[in-house]
Amino acid sequence: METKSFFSEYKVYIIIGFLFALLTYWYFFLATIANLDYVFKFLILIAQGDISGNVIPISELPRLQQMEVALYGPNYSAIAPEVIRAFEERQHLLPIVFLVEFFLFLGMFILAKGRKQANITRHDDKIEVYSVFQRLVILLNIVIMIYLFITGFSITFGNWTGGGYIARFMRSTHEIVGVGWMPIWLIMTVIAFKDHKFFYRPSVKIWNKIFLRGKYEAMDRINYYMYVAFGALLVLSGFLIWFMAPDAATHAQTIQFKRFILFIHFMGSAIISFFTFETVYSYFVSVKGYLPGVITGKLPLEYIEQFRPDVLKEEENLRK
Amino acid sequence: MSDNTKPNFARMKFYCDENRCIHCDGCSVACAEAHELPVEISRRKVVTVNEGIQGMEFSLSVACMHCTDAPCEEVCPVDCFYIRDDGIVLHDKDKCIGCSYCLYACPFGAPQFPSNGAFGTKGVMDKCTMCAGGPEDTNSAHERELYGQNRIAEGKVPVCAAMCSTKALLVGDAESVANIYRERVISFGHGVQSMPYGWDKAYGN
Repeated sequence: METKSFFSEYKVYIIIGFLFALLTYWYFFLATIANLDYVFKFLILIAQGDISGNVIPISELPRLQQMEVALYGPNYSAIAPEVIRAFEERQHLLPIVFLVEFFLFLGMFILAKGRKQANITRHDDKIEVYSVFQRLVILLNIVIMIYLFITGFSITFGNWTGGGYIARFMRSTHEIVGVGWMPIWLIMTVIAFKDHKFFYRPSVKIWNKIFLRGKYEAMDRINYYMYVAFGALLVLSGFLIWFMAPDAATHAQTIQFKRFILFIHFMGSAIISFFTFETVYSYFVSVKGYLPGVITGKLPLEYIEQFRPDVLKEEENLRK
Repeated sequence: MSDNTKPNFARMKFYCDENRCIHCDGCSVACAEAHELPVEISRRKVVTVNEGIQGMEFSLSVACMHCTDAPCEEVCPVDCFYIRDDGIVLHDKDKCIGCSYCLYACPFGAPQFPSNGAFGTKGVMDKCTMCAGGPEDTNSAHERELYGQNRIAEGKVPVCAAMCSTKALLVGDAESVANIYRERVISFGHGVQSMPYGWDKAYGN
């Protein structure tokens, strides 16, 4: 049996983890202008069920500050400047980040010498890999995520669209479609949880019509975990933004929490976009034939033999 | 052209004296009536602090402060805000996409959002215009429909301050308002120890 060193076994996870640690350090300790001391205290307050952001009780404040807190909410300068900075940064830096990502994937594409294509001689020899339910969930997830990306960016890059009715309609539907994405995200998260070592797959037909088949490659598994983690952040923060629609009556009590949530939403969308692009690249660009397979539910046997032997192995186990 | 020939515009500012405000809501009602605002919009609201605590209770009327470096203008993704020469901060409702970033950036909670967008979501932002209308033709029907009255163009004081029975709410040129504030504080027998509420955030130190 071949023995692998710890590094070679977990190379992808170590590299991604290291990059994440760097990104976190840069984002929270170098780039941020938010008052982190206040943010930590605020998080503790939220954990205790208080979202007002009053880390110092209002009765203990001097009169002028009492006025400000009662009218406008507490500690304006703790989080709001960060939201403004993050917003401006998104408008100016995100296009550069996306350009870098594009050239990164283009480089990978060139190194891989174009798309991988299965050598198929028996076109009619196909097996069903995706059930109707799975196809519906995957395709809905793809379509909704594309729409959310487009409409989300139409808000961020409003300086390009110039606003107006169409941009406003896109912003409105971003909220509604976002709410619609929540169950899809949850179902996708469940059915794609397919190859964890604690996951026991019973050989019942209905089970395989719900959970996706096969095993993940290391990078695809990371993409899945990121989809779950940052999807959860986006779903939760997006829902709260939509649910706590601006309400003048409770403004002072909720505005600090809303600012914090918007900041989380900004962060989640920026990070998930990289892993989404990676998923798009590895499933749709680098290999030919994934999308027709998801649409029809069937893939040629030779395709599976060459690219998805894990699925074939499962299929054979099922037939036993 | 030298700077001397430039007109010396007033710098319009609001000031609410918490020692005079009696929470009659005259300002907010007058504003809503004058501009025919929908029920969910309150461009101006009155808040009482320490309600029920004897000797510590006081009220304040609050709306858009028309900040010098308005953060709403800074953060708006479609650049729908503009600041007039007299310091009044206005916005273009035809451009606004109702994203509410201005609300997150505003230190005063001024931006208001009706629920008349697509599928019951937020509509375009609405806020105090200091009764100065919007970018449409002055006193046109479209301007009135979108922004309400344009009293400034008619040489009138904003309706909230005009209606204030105790003269707690003042509006006008910064220098005049600051002088009145100073006189009022001095009448208590001591000097000015702090700026009026919100002035440090709205107009800088």
